[in-house]
Amino acid sequence: MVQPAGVESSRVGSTGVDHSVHVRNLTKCYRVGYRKPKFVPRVGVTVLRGCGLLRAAHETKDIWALRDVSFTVKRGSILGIIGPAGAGKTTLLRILARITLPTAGHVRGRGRVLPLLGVENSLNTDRSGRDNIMLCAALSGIPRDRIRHCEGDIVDFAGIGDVIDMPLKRYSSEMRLRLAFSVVMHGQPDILLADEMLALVDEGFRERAVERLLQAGKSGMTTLIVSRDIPTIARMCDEVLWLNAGEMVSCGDAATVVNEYQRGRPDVAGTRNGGLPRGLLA
Amino acid sequence: MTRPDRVALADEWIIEARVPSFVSRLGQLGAYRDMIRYTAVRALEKMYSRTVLGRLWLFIRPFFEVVVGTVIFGNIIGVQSENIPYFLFFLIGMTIWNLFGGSLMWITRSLEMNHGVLKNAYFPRVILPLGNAAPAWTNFGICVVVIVLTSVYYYAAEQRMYLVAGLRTLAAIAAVALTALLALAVGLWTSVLGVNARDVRFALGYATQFWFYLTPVIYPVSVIPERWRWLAKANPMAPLVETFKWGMLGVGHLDWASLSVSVATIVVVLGAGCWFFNRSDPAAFDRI
Repeated sequence: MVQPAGVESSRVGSTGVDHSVHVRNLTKCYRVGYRKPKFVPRVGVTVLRGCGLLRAAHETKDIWALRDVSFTVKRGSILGIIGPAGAGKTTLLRILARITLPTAGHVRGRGRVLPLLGVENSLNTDRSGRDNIMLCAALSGIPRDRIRHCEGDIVDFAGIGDVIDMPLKRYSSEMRLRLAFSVVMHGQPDILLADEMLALVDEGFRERAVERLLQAGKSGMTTLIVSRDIPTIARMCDEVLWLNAGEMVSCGDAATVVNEYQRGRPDVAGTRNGGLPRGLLA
Repeated sequence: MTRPDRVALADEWIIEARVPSFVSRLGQLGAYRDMIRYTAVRALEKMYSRTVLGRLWLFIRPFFEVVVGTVIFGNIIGVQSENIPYFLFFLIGMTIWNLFGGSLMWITRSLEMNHGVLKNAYFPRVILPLGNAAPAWTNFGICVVVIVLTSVYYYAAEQRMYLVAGLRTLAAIAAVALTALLALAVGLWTSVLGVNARDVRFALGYATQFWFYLTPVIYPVSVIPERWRWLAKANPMAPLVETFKWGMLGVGHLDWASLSVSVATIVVVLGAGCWFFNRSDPAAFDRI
């Protein structure tokens, strides 16, 4: 099935101004709780549960992490994603990284997607940072050949010096994140998905990271970055997507959206119960 | 349709609400083959992490199992073993059984053990069951070496070579491959079910033990009374163990009828398991 959006994007693509990521009506619903066992008679379940022999079933509840989100990111641009906790920012990136499936809607894109969504927490803590470079690459989906020759550069850019040969369990969480960022950037992504990394690193590294992202953007890399560091987002992003309780509040020019966000649109702040997903309160 | 940017178009991808097919995911295995190795290494390291004896456990565990088994079943109970030293008979039976039981246990735990990775990285999920079976394979390799050493010992002591080689070895290799597939077939189900209910892991421990006694591992098929033979014929693991013994020691016989039942069972359970594993992917992993 050819979606109208896709046709449009390929046509634009052949003239050179293509869209890198094209999100349409993206919706994600998480179901929590357990359904009642289907094949056991209702009376039996009640008796067993009454005796405390069977785990109590909560009624299943649907949490809408994303609802009908649509936007487009141009090739080589940086999209900042902002919003309060529980807004669906990470869920959005997880869908784009294929870690979870959307409930409805679709995403079209072009080029290699590399995620930076907490991969540093899945590395082998007993091995040295150097040994973990390959594991980090494998977890991110970077081919071995692309990384093999630039181990030195990766270590240099991460800027963790001699620590690189110490076991990863001696690293601070920031050092792990730096290493993962360095590996992923050397994997030459066409599309980078970064979850909350700006607020977790020190100022010096943040500047270098931002500079690197801007530079990569000039050579065509598209970045989708989630952050609470609003000033940095305003400074580096071309466009900003503001999510609240799974819904898109606004998306467009960085300065405008950030301005709106900081003023806090009363119509949004008032109705959304402080930004918690509606499902949690239902 | 001709396009100037044919290469770029090849990179185009789409993410939709429906689950990608199992075949398309298998196609990605090549690109993620490093992940299989890393999963395997991780499982192996987990096996003896925080132990003092470390890798020695790889040898100690099977050693105790076989020695204790030989003393109890061979010497005390006196199970007959078709003129093969019971130690060798038991060792060969346990080697193939442990490949099954061990793989099944590690495959069942594969998703739960790696839940952290599932949350922050993408790769075809079937890599976890495949890679996590590594400890069982290591154990198998060690046992094969011990089998060879033992028969060399018997050759030196009794001037008799119990191991047979030749075309029969192919039958033994086929039995090993089928055993691994059977473990994978069952494991694809239990690993997903085990994500939502740890009960699966507990129940599986008992079920495997029961299955072990039903399978002619510690005794030859020939001692089973006629009226219970059907049990051995219906059990997909029984002909595999028998074939392995036949291929290694030349005892017993190839039972083509029960072997084909076994292969048919493996094909059906594995096929359905692939479908189930793939279909459950988002549902199971959102909950992990």
